Amino acid sequence: MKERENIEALFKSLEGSFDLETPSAGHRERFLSRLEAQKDASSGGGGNSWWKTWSIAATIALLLASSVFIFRPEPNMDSQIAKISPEASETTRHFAGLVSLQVQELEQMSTPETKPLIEDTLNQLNQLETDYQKLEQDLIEGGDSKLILSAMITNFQTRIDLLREVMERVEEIKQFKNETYENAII
Amino acid sequence: MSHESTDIKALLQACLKGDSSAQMKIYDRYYQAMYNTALRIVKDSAEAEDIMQESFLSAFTKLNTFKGEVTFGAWLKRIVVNNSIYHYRKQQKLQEVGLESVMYKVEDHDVAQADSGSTERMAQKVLETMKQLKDSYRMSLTLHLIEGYDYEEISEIMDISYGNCRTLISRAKESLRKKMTSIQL
Repeated sequence: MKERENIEALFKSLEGSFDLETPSAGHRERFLSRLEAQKDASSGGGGNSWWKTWSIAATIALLLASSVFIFRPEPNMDSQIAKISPEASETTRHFAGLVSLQVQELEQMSTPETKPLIEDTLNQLNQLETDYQKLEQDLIEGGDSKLILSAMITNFQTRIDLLREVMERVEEIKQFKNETYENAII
Repeated sequence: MSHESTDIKALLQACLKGDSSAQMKIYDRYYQAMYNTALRIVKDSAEAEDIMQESFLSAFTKLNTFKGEVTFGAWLKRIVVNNSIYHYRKQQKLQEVGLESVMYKVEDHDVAQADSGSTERMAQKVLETMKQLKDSYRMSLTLHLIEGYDYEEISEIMDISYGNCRTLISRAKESLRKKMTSIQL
C-alpha cells in the first residue's frame, strides 16, 4: 500500500515535466497549411456551388478539347523508343520486368533487422529510376542515341547488381541470426 | 495568471472570427503539451503529430461549443485524448503483422541508464518504463497520473465500467512499481 502511495508521490513531484518530446521540424508550417486548406474547404461550400460545378465542368471540357490538339503528335514514351531502336525497347521491357520481380521478392524479405537496408535500397532504386526517365527524355529529344542507349542499359544493369548485392546481404543477416549461435555451442 | 487567461480569452475571440494569426498563437501555446499527450497514448511520433494537428483543427471549427466550464487547455486536451484513443483502436485493428517489430522495441530499450539526476531525467525514465507496460496499463496510468483524470472520466474515455477502471489502474500501478524497483529507479 505504501509503495502505491509512493508512485502517486513520484508522479506528483514530476508533475509538469513529462512533456519532453517535440514534434519533428516543420510541424508549424504543416499545421498552417492544414489550417488554410480547412478554411478554403469551408468557404467553398454554400450558395455558389451550382455555379462552381458548371465552371469546373466547362474548364475540364476546354482542357480535353485543347489536349486533343496539343498531345496528338506525341505518342507515349515506349513506342517512341521502339521507333528509335526496337531492340532497346525489347531489352528494357525485359529488364523492367526482372527488376520489379526482384523488388517484390526483396520487400517480402523485410524484417526489423533488414528494414533500414531494404528501405535504403528502394530509395536508391527510385533515384536510378528518375535518372532513367531523364535518359529516355534525352533520347526522344534526339541526343546521341548510341551513347544514351548504352547508358540506359547500364542503368538497368546497376539496378540489378544492386538488388543482387542487397539480397546477398539480407541472406547473410538472416543466416547470422539463425545459425551462428547454434554452431558456437557445438 | 489571470492576466494570461484574459489573454487567451481575447485570442479565442479572434479565433472565432477565423483569424489565422490568433489560431497560430493558440497553436504555439499548446502544441507541445498536446503532442506529448497524444504521443503517450499512440507511441508513434508521426501519428501523434497528425492527431495533435487534427485536434486543433476540430477545436477551431467547434470553438463556438466551448462554454468555458473548464479551461480551454483542458477542453482541448480532452479532444486530443479522445482522438488519440480513437486512433489507437483503429491502429490496433489494422495491425496484425508488426509483432516482430514490437518485440524488438521492447528488447532494445535499455532503460537502466543508472544515476538519477534532474527531474527531467527522472521523468524520462518513468516514461520509458511506462512504455514497457501493457497498452491498457500504460494508457490508464497516463490518463490518471499524468493527465490527471479521475476514475469516472477515464472509464468514460476508455469505454469501460467504473469498477473495471479502478481494478485496471490499481494493477497498472502495481505493475509499474515492480518494473521500477527492478531497475532501481
